[in-house]
Amino acid sequence: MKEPKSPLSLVLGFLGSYTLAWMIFLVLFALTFFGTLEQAHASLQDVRTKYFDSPIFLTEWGIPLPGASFLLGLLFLNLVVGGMIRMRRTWSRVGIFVIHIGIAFLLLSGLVEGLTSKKGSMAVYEGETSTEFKSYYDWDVSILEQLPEGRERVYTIPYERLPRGAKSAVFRADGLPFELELSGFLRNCRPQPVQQGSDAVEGLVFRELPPAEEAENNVPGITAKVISKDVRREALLWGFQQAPYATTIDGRRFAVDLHRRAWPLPYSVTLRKFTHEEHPGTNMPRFFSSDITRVQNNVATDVHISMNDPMRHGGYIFFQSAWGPPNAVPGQPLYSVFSVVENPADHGPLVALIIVAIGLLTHFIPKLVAHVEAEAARRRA
Amino acid sequence: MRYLSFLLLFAATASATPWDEKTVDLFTHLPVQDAGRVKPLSTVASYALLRMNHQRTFRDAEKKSRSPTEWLLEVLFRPDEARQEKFFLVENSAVLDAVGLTDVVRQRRDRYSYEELAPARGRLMQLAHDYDQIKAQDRTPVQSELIDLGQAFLEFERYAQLLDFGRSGDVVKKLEDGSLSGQDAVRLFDGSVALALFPPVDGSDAWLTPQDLVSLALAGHPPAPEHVAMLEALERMASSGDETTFREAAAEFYGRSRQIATTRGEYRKIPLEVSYYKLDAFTKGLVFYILGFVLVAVTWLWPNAWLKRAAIAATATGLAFNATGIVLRCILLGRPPVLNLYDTILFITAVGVLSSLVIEFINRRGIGLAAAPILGSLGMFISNRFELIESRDTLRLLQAVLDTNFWLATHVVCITIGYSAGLLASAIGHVYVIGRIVGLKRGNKSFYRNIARMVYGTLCFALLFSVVGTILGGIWANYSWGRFWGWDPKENGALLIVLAQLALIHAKLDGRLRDLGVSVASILVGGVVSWSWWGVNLLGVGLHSYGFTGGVWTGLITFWSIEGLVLFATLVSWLVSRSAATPPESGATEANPV
Repeated sequence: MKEPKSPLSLVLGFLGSYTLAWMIFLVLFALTFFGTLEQAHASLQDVRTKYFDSPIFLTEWGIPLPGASFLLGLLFLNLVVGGMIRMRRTWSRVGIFVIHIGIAFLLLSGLVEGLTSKKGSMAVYEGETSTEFKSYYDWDVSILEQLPEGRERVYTIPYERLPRGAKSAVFRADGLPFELELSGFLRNCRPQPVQQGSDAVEGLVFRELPPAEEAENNVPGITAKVISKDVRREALLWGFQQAPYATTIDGRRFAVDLHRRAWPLPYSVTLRKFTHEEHPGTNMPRFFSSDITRVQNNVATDVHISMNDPMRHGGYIFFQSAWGPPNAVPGQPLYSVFSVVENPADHGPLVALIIVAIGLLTHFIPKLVAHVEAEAARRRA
Repeated sequence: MRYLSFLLLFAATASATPWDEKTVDLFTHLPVQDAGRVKPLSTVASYALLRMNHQRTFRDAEKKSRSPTEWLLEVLFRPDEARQEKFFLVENSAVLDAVGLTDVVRQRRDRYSYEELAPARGRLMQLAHDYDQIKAQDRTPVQSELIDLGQAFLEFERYAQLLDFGRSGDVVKKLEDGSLSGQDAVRLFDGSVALALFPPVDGSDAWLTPQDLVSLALAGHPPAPEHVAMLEALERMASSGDETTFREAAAEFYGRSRQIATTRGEYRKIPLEVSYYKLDAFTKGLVFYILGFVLVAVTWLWPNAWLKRAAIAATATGLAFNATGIVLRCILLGRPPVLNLYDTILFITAVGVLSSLVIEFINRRGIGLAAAPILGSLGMFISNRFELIESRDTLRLLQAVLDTNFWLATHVVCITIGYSAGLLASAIGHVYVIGRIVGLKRGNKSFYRNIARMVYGTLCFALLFSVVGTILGGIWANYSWGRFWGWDPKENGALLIVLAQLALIHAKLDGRLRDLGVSVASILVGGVVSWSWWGVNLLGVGLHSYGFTGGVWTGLITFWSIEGLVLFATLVSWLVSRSAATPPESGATEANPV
C-alpha cells in the first residue's frame, strides 16, 4: 500500500506539474491577448504597468487576471521544480532539461533587468554637452538650497512617494527650515489662468488633460505648499515650467522643482555632428547618426552612434533614438536623442537564446532522425 | 447626335492605334525614381493601372489586351484618347448611384471611361473627401470604394496633365531665353504628377521631375545640358503628331536617361525588374499549384502512381516559380526575403509547400502531398489579393530603424518559418478533424494516429522556430534600441503563438489532449498565427503597425468564421460519437481526454 504523500510533496508535485505549466501558459496567453487589444485605446506604458506590475487586475472587459510578473514568477518555480529538479534525468530528456535551463535563465535576466536597470533618454544639441540622462516616466520633486561658495544641497522626493489622487503628503528633512506639503498630483495637465478662486494659485490652476498616447509625453503637475512657523506659501509645480519655484526662508534661498528623474553618467557626452538622410523624394528616414565625443578622466574619445549600432561604455548603452526639432528648416540647429540604458543583464537574452536553441536542437533532431528511420523501415516492411 | 457618334467612333479608333513595339520597349525600360527607388517606368505604370483597373493590363476599345506601359503612353501622350478608354473599375454600381450617375450604369461591376465619369467629378471628389474623414475601419465598402475611385480619378488627371508643358511646345525655348514666368510654370504644371524622370548629373540622390527643372531654372539654376536635351525630346514627343519624330525623340530621351543612370550605377537592375514583372512568377506558381491540387484530387478518386508523380511535379513547379519570384525580389532590393507583409505571404507559402513536400517524402501517406498544393494555391491567391488591396509597389525601401540585413535574415526569417509551420500543422489538423466528420477511412485508427503524429511533429518544428525567432526579435530590440521586450502588439503576437504551442504541448504531455485534442488545438493555434500575422497590424498601434486594411479585416473574419464552423462541426461529431460509444466502466469517466 502506498504511503500518503506529505503536504510538501503534494505542493511540490503541483508546482512542478504539467498541469500547472499549461494553465500558466493559457493565463499568460489571455493576459497577452487582452493586453494587446487594450493598446488600441491606452498607452503602451499604462497597459504594461497594469498587466505586468499588478498582482491581480480587471481587464477592459471585466475579466480578472493575475499580473504577468506574478505568472512569470510562478512559471519560474514550475520550470525549476518540474523541469529541472523533479524531471527524470535520462539521455532522451537532456534537450528538454537544457531548454528549461535556458528559459529559467531568460526569466532570471528579465528579473535582474526589472529590478536594476535604468532606462531614459538624453537630448543634446550639436555643440552641447550632457553628463546625465533622464527618465521617460518618473518625475521627482527636488528642493535645492543654494549654499555659500556656489555649493548646493539637494533634497529629493521620488516619484513613487508623490501623493496621488485627492491625497496630500507632508515632507520634512533635517536641516530644512520648512515642511513641504504636496497635493493634487495630475499625471498630464497644463496650467491655465482663471479668475481668482479657492483653488487658484497666483491666478493659475491646473487643467487636467487626458493621458498622452505615448506615456513619456505626459507632463505632470502638483501643488506645493511651503510651510514654516512664519511662512505659508503655495506654488504650482509643472513639469514644463521654465524655472523652478524660488523662495527664501529664514534668509536661506531654496528652489522647488518638478522634473524628470535624472541619472548622472560617469562621463560627458558632446554632440559634434548629427547627420540624417531620407530616401530621395520621400520623407522616410534612410539613415541617422551622431558623432559624439565622450570624455572620461580627461580622456576624450570620438564615437559614431547610429541606428542599430549603439555605443556601449562604462555599463551604459547609448542608442540612436530620434532627432529634432521635427520641422527643422535647413541651417537650424538640430538635436539628437539617445536612449540610454544601464542594464546589468544586457546579454542575458542572448545567452538564454543560445542555451534554448541548443536544447531544442538536441531534443528535436534525434526525434526527427528516429521518425525518418522508422518511416523508412515501415516502407521497407 | 450622328456627329457625336462619329467623334466617339473616331476616338475609339484613334485609341486603338497600337504603340510601336520598340517605343513600348524603350519606355518599359525607362528608369525613373519613385518612392525613393530607381525602377522601370513599367513598374510605376503597372501599379497606377492596378489602382484604377484592378489589373495590370487593360482591354482597349477593340478588346485587345494592352500592357501597363502602353496604357501610360496613352495617358501621357494621347490624353484625349485615354479619356475614352474604360479602365476605371467600379466594383459596386451603388458607387455610381451615390455620385448621381445612374444613367451610365451597365452592370453591378463594370469598367468606365474618364469621360463617362467626368460629369460626376465634383460630387465624387466631395464624397471622397467627406468619407476620408471617417476612420478606415468604420467605413462602408461603398464609402471605401468612393474614396479609391476619387483618388484614381485624380491620379489619372495628374498623369494626363504631366506633359501639358510639352504640348505647349515652347517651354524649353522660354527656359533658355529666360522668358518663362512663374505664372507660366504654375499654369503648366499645377496638378500634374511628380514623376522623377531626370537622373541628376551633380551626384545628388534625388532625381528631378520636369517641375523641379523649371522651378530650379526660375530660381536661377539653369538645367544641365543633358536635362535640356531630355526636356526638348519630351517636348517633341508631346507636341509632334509624327510617328518617326516621336520614335527618334523617345530613343534620345531613353538613351540619355539610361546613360546617366548607368554612370550612377542605377540602371543595373532595371532589366531584371522588367523581367521579374514579365515572368509573373506568382501567377504561374498559382496555376501550377492549382494543377497540382486537381491532380491530387484525381488520385483520391483513381489512385495512380503516374498521376501522383504528375501532382508532385506540378506542385514542385509551382514551388519553383514561387521561390524564383522570391529570389528575384531579394536580388532587386539586395535584401533578405522578408521585408513587408507581402513578402511574408510569399515566403510563408514557399516554406509551407516545401515542408509539406518534405513530410510527404518522409511519410508517403499522401497528406503532405495534399497539403502542399492547397497551401500553395491559397498563399498565391492571398498574395494576389493583397497586392491588389495595397496597389502600391511591393518592392519597398526600408526605414532606417529596420536597416539591418543580419536581423532581417535571422529574426524575421525564423518568425515567418514559425508562422508557416504553425499554419501547416493547422492544415494537417484539418485533415484529421474533417476526415473524422465525413467518415474518411472510418475505423482506420492507424491512419488517424499517423496524422496526429504529423500534426504534433509539425507543431514542434513550429515551436522551435517561433521560440528562436521571438527571442531573436527581443535580442534585436535589446541590441538596437535598448529593450528586450516592449509588449508591442507584434511582439505580443509572436509570444501568443509560442504560448499557445507550449500550452498545447504541455497539455498533451499532461495527458489532457490526445489525437483529436491535438488536432483541434492545432487549428486554434492556426487561428492564433493568423491573428499574429495579420490581426495585430489592424490595431493600428505599435512599432510594427502596417495600418488598417479593409479587405484584410474582411478576409480574417471570414477565415475565423470558417474555422469556427469546422470546430463546431468537430464538437458535434465528437459528441455524437461519444453518445454512440459503449459507456465506459466506472472510474474511467473523469477527465476524459480527447
